[in-house]
Amino acid sequence: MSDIETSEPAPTRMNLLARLSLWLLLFSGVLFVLLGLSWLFLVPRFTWFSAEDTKMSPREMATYEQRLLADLRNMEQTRTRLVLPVSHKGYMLLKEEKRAAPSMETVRAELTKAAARTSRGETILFQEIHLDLPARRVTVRGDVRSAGLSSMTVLAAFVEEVENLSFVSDLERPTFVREQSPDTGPHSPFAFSFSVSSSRR
Amino acid sequence: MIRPFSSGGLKSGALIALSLALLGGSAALIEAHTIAVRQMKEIGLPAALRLPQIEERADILREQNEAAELQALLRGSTEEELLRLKVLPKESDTGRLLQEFDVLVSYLQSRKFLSSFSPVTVGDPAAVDLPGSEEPIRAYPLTFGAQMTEEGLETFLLFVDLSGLLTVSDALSSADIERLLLLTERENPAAVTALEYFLSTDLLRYAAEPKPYEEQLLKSFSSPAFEEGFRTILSETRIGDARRLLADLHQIMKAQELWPLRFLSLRTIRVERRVDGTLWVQCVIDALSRGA
Repeated sequence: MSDIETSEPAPTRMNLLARLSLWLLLFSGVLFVLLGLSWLFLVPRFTWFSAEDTKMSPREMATYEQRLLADLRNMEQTRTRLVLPVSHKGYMLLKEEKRAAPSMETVRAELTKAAARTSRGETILFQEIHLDLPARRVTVRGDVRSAGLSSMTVLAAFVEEVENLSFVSDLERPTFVREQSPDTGPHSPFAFSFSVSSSRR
Repeated sequence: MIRPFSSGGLKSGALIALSLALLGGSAALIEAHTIAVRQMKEIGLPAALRLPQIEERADILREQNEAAELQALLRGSTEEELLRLKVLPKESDTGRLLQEFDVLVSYLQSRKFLSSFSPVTVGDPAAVDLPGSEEPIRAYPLTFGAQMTEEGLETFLLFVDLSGLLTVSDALSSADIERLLLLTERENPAAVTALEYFLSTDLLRYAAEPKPYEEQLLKSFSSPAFEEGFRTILSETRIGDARRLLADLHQIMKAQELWPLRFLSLRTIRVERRVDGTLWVQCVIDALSRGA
């Protein structure tokens, strides 16, 4: 008996692809169409918002919110302008400038506090405080007394304390000297200056 | 059997290529879906949740602005005229300026805060660099010295600080005014006109008798939250100091028609401590005027 030969040859890879290609096209086509329909009809329905009787995408919504916030700021400015009795621009600027200027009272109070924090029974005297507002610079002249031989150490600690004050910058350190006086004994006269930002409380 | 370059092979190849293109398109659409959902969650939804509050606030502000505008029209421009006439006059007006100093010196002497006062020198005017101002401003420097106590120096600096202020609003910073407006908006938006009236109150009149003005404003608010906030804001400003000094000077200022005071600005100040404990204060003060 001879062997029975099959009429169809075994499917090759190319054959298999040819048979699958139509199904693949069908599947990808349906998927694409469904996704397309979802993008056109479902996504706007579930991710878009309605405001001002119009539909907005999330990005448009954020832009709309920013526009409303800008309108709010404008309205706030208008309200402030309306409740104020004077609208002279130069006057407003002068007031703001005066308000922002360093205050002599605060400078003196803070220097006195710094001296109190530094000294332990010694005396830090302020003989002269000069505030130049256009230059925003303070010059301090004084003397450390009753500190015996450690007057220069007390002065150094005081200068460091002043340098750490929040409104002080660009401090020009004093010359550290100890002098002998028949009245006060050893003492350290000093003079230093610093720049000052707004020191108002 | 498919053979390369046969019509059947070409057809299958084209179908597969088209399928792959559609799959690529689908992948892009899935990515777009993901982005849309993410944007909805991260951008759109929070914005949508905030929107009603913003719109509500916009409505309140619109109503407040309408009321404030009407009140501003009724108020007129008295303060603006006083500003041009007395606070920032067109001319040097040295006589009136020295009269103001006289009042201050007499007050400090009556309190024993000041023991001597040097002659006042008025220098040549100089233009003030004020970017943003629609009108040029010039300054007349006044130089003088005075021997005073610590309290004298404090009062003198307060006087310079208060000079040029017209109304209660001028004694408050713009941040303080914003805080008061926010409080009004929260507690009773319609009371913005009452706040406007309070802020336009003449500072000298308010300093002499603050209660009626404060009560009139507080009457517009039923909750204690506004009063609490209002008192806190006022306590943080210099309005208390202003009240203290102007209450004392009120009568004489009114009698000599010196209010509102000329706008003064401190240029330099030198404080020297004397052996007797008093202070020698040497300063240059700018008296400001309009015009080049």
